[in-house]
Amino acid sequence: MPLKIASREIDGITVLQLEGRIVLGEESNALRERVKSLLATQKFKIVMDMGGVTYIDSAGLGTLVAAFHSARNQGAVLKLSNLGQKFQEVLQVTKLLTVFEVFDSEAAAIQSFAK
Amino acid sequence: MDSGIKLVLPSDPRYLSVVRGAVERFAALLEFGEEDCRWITLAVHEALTNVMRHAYHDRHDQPIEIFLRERDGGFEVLMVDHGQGVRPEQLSGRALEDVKPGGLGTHMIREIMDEMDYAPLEGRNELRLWKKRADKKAGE
Repeated sequence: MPLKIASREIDGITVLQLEGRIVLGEESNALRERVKSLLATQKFKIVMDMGGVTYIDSAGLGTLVAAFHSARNQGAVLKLSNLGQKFQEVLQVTKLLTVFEVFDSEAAAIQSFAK
Repeated sequence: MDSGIKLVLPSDPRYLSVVRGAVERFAALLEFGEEDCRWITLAVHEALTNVMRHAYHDRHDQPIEIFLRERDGGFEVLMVDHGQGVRPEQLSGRALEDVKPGGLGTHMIREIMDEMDYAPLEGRNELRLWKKRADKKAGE
């Protein structure tokens, strides 16, 4: 399934709900553009809910790493929530699990901004 | 004739899902476990995206051939392209401690597969991947 990105705001935090696959091509480009436009409009608190992500490849991971760096360079914070087991395994293989701030649920990720 | 299948496709990312489907089912046919089928599929996907991006520089109309077959109790994938080759040492993958986009695919392939051989030949490049099938336990 191609990537669907739904966006909503909760207490000044932008939640991107991702559904589908994040792979080389349109999917990775769409995600890159969405994060870019959030940062351009001063949305500096972002949670990506990955619960609906069915597949990710190295291009998708690269997009996430680039988004993480862009956010940090602009003073924004990007957190991930709701990673499935397969996704976690891929992050482990690539040693990226410790790079991102990862939360079990979207609610926990949102709550972490209050601390 | 060796039993196996041959896929011929253009270097267009739209066909990635078609190849993933074929590879996953072929691995299942060779009685790899569900998890191994998924990892092998990811490795082949990564190899294929490397060809599309680096050998063909994102051109979508260049030919790629993929041969899938059983060999020595495992799954062999041979991928052939006619694009720009790389030096084999460039496929060693980068240090993962250096966190940046790109360069993850080769590392993933090496982690997943048991063998990875790359040969830039006259007018074509060949990438051969092989993964051994885990021995079945008694009673399985």
